[in-house]
Formats: sequence, structure tokens, C-alpha cells
Amino acid sequence: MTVIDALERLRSQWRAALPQKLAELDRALADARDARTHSERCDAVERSKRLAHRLRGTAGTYGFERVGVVAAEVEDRLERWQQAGGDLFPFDSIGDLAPEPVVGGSIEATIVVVADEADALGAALIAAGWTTLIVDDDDDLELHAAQGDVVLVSGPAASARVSRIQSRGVTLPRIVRIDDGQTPEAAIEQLFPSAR
Amino acid sequence: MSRAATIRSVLLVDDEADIRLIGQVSLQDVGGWETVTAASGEEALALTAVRSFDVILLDVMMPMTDGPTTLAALRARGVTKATPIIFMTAKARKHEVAAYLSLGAAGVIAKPFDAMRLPEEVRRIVAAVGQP
Repeated sequence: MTVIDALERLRSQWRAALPQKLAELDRALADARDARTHSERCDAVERSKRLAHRLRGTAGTYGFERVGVVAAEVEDRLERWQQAGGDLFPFDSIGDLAPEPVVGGSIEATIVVVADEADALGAALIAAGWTTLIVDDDDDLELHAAQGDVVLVSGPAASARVSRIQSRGVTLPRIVRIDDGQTPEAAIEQLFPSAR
Repeated sequence: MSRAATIRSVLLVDDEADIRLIGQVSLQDVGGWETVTAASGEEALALTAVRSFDVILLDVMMPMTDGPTTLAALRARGVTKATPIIFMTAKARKHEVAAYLSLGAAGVIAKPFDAMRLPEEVRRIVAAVGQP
């Protein structure tokens, strides 16, 4: 058996186990959402974060980059909640963040969101089933831009941030600017009409 | 002669079985190195007490004894004091990488990694470190 064969066999096994991994994370997130006490919620969030972290590290290694990006988003959200509290669940489950298209690979674009109202815009895209990566600062944008197919920009501060990154010579993927009144879904659909 | 040319054995430490599996195929079959895996910092410390490795790849976030704690314990021992230790982590932003390097790691490899290119990355880091 060649190395390529061995790696392909491992990828196939990992792919077969993916629904179970997602279901386990889903259950942990549900426990966090439905917890009756703060202590129970903290425990479930920690467990969810650990599971998301595992997926974050392994999915891309096994060739499922988009699952890894979604898992990273889940982990980062949970970590932000642990550090600052606030709204933990703009999504109900991993199913909202990693719907079948992500697992099956039928969504063809990963969208990097840079926006003044990034959480709201990102939540809208996630709810619409897009693989979405919300970046909060310049380092994140520089680091993650290469993972995306489109950088979605909304708001003056976000535009300034993107310009600043470009002025450093960083190459960003295709940039889409949201006009007033245009929904993010509509903007992306224009670019990728066959991606849904 | 560069230190990279002397790599014969690698210890891969990660609590995630999926990473140990694909990492072993990569390091052993692509890199051509004897590869031993450990599922925890404790197991790594036990293994390195009875034999030596040319390079140690160490996951950062592990339950019980995490990567940085394991690295500190390895550095405190004479036998592994100078062994190149490379962190592997899914959290590899600039400030995080800088923090890991400041702990004494030879380098940092970000997860996810490309199994076909992992040995090349290990060689590059070890060569940059040079002779102990």
C-alpha cells in the first residue's frame, strides 16, 4: 500500500466517523443551551469547546477544511463567552453552523466577514448555510484571508481595516462590498449563483 | 552536517487519536523516520525516560499535563534538555506562536497540517535550530 493509499484510507475512515463527531458536539452544545444553572452551562461550554477544538485541528488535516473552519468559529465563540459572557447561542446547534452542504462539500465558497456589525452579518450568513469566518482584527484577517474565497466587507471601519491590510502588501481573495440596503445573501448569490 | 540530516526517530505527542494516526503515517512513511506516539504529556515523559528521540512533536492543548507543562518537564531533564521540541497547535496566531517560542520550542506547526508536507516542515525547523 502506498502512502497515498494509506492516507486516503484514513480520510475515508474519518469521513465515516464525522456524523458521530458532529452529533457529539451537537449534544454538548444542546446541554450548554439547556443548562439550568450557570455551573452546568460552564461545564457544557467547556466540553463543547474541547470537542470543537479537536475538530478544528483534525478536520483540515483529513481534507475537510470547511468543517475545520466552522469548528474554529464554534470554539472561538465559546471562548469569547467564557471570557466576556454575552450572547452564547445565535445558533441553535452545530447543524446551523455545519449543515449538510458543508459536510458534503456542496457549498463552494468560504466567506470571510469583515464588518462593523460582524456578528449580525455573520449570523445571517451562517443561518443561510454559508461557510462563514468572522474576523475581528487585522492579524486574524491576514491569517485567515487565504482560507476564504470571498472577503465580505461592510461598514466604514471594516473598509479601512481591509485597506490597511492591502497597503501592507497582503493579497486578499475577491472582495465584495455590501451596499446600503443589499442583503449579504443577495451579494454572494450574485457572485456564486451555482454554489447553493 | 545539519541536524536535519540526523533525524532518525520522532516522538509525536497528541491526545487526539486521529492526529496520532495520520501523523504517524506522515512521519513514518513520508519522512522515513521511526515514529512513536504518546497520548498524553505523562506518557511522553515516561517514554523519554527510557529512550531518546531526535525530535519531539508536542500538542499544546491536552488534558492533565498540557504541552507547555510537558515541555518544561522535558527541558528540566538532562536527556531531553536539548532535544528539538516542536509545538503543534490549532491556535497559531502571531502572538500565540511568539508565546510558544518564548517557552523554548524550536518551532510551531499549525493544525491543520498537510500530511505529505509535515516531515519537510519538521526538517526545516530542526535545520534552523542547528546543532545543540
